Amino acid sequence: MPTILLVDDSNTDRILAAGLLQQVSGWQVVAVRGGREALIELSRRSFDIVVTDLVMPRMNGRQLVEAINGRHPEIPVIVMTSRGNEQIAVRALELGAASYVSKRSMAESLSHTVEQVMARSRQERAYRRVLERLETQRVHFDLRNNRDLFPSMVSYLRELMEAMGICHDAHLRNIGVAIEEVLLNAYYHGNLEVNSRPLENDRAEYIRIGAERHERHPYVDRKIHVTAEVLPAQATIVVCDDGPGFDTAQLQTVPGDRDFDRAKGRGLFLVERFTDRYSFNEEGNELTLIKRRVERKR
Amino acid sequence: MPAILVVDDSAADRQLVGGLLESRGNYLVTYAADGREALESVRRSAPDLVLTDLQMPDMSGLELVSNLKDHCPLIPVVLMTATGSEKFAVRALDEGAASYVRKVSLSRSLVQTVERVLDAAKEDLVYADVMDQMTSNELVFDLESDVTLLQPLTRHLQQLTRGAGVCSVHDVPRIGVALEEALLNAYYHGNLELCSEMRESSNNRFYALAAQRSCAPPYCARRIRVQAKLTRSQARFTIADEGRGFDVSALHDARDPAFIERPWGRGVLLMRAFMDDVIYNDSGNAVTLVKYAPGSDKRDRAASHGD
Repeated sequence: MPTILLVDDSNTDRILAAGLLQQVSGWQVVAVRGGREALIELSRRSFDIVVTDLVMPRMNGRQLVEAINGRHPEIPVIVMTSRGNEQIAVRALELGAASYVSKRSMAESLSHTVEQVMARSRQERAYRRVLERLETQRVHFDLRNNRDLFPSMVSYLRELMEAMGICHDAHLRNIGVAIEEVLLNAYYHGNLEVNSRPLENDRAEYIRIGAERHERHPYVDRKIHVTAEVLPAQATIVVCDDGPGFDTAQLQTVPGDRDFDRAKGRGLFLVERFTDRYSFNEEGNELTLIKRRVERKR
Repeated sequence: MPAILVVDDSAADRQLVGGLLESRGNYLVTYAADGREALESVRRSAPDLVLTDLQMPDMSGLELVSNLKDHCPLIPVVLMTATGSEKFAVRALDEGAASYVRKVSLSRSLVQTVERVLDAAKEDLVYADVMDQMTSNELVFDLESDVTLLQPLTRHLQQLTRGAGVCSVHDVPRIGVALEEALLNAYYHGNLELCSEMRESSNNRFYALAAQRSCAPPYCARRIRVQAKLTRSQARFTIADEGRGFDVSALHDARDPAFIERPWGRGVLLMRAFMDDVIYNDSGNAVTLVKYAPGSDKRDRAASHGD
């Protein structure tokens, strides 16, 4: 049975809204007077949806939306707006409220909006269940050697990993950084053959040589081949370039050695920090990254 | 230089906005006095961004937003809102507007907002370019026999097919319908071994028996395996169930009107109408649906028939 948490400090409005929601058969409504009470209820039991007033003393609706998004991101929130606070409603929507209802038209639209939002969130849950049943998922790209494409390539892979629940927030940002470093490595060291060592730091020099070479033969026809295998348990990303490769033995310095960090360069340092495993192929023109699932902290 | 279409019924506001854009940014500005004029202008030459007032006679900003969303989804729309029109602004954002600027703070935030939206739109185009360089996407799903998974799975495969750019936008929902029919066949006729003649005589009995079998062995342990392979030239889906299969030769006359009228004939008919190939394995418990990219080579088609 769908359970709705209703939050409003005004007795009249709360009773009105609760009445409207209870008219729908099968809906159970729990009504409280403020944001703090709402958060206490949310920690006690599970709700399918929260419907909240915006203007309330102490914790207002906007703060409540923010708190719910942080602690219970799976629960959608609908805000109720009265005449004059549409601006606050816009901000609440920006903060992550799922929808809004005007208090003046509650009778016509409250239960309809709640139904709509619940249907959408049911759909999302079903979608997540479907993704959990993935056994194989392998995407392959043959990218032109153009670094302007990297941010979009990275955001595609990030979205894929987020949808599969591999990781979120800071972890997701970090793995994005690691992938971008690997793509830049394929672009500069691999395809444009700038410098013999991978993932090093002297960007200005790279950019100069890169700009000079990237429209010339043989560099211009080279591609970056990206294969991503993303499953609920882990993501494996393989980036391969068409360059001649490099001697990976250069990387075999001993950790703690003063040359260690320099030999690896900043890029590889980031890759090492932000992934669970990485490895080069023998030719040195292909790098494989592995990121295992990180459970979200509650 | 990015082209911006300014839509406002007030000549003074048009001048103010155009002046701000031309003096503080590097834009090519054109004008329209209402939604209708704006649509004509967009049809003649598509701008990079539309900046529109909300309240106008003839066609309001709200209608303009929803019209542009349907016909030119890649052109971002920024709203200019006067005090009191916030309510419409919220609706317009729901409809698909990309951002809004309050008229009272135009001089402070107009150019900044426009720039931000243009940047985001450019990123969108690069993203689409990257998606064009996807050469293949392969997926395998292994599902328990649960009917509620079938629709979300269909939607997901539909979305991926759209993203892979194998077929026209028009074909995507049709592919969705074909996939859903194939999945429902695998569930009801395959894994639950329900014969379609029963549905012909009584829908209720059919679904009651389905509900009963869905939690009884051996039916409940059966799974559905879905393989999808999307490449530049084709979308190929194989849906296999663990039922007993059926006599494939009985499908010969799927276009026969007598056949179409039967409940299960409909599914096969839709699959055949919407996909280029519908191939059953010999035992009849796996079907492969293929859609070829428009303009993909005939010889490729012949070659892929063989595998």
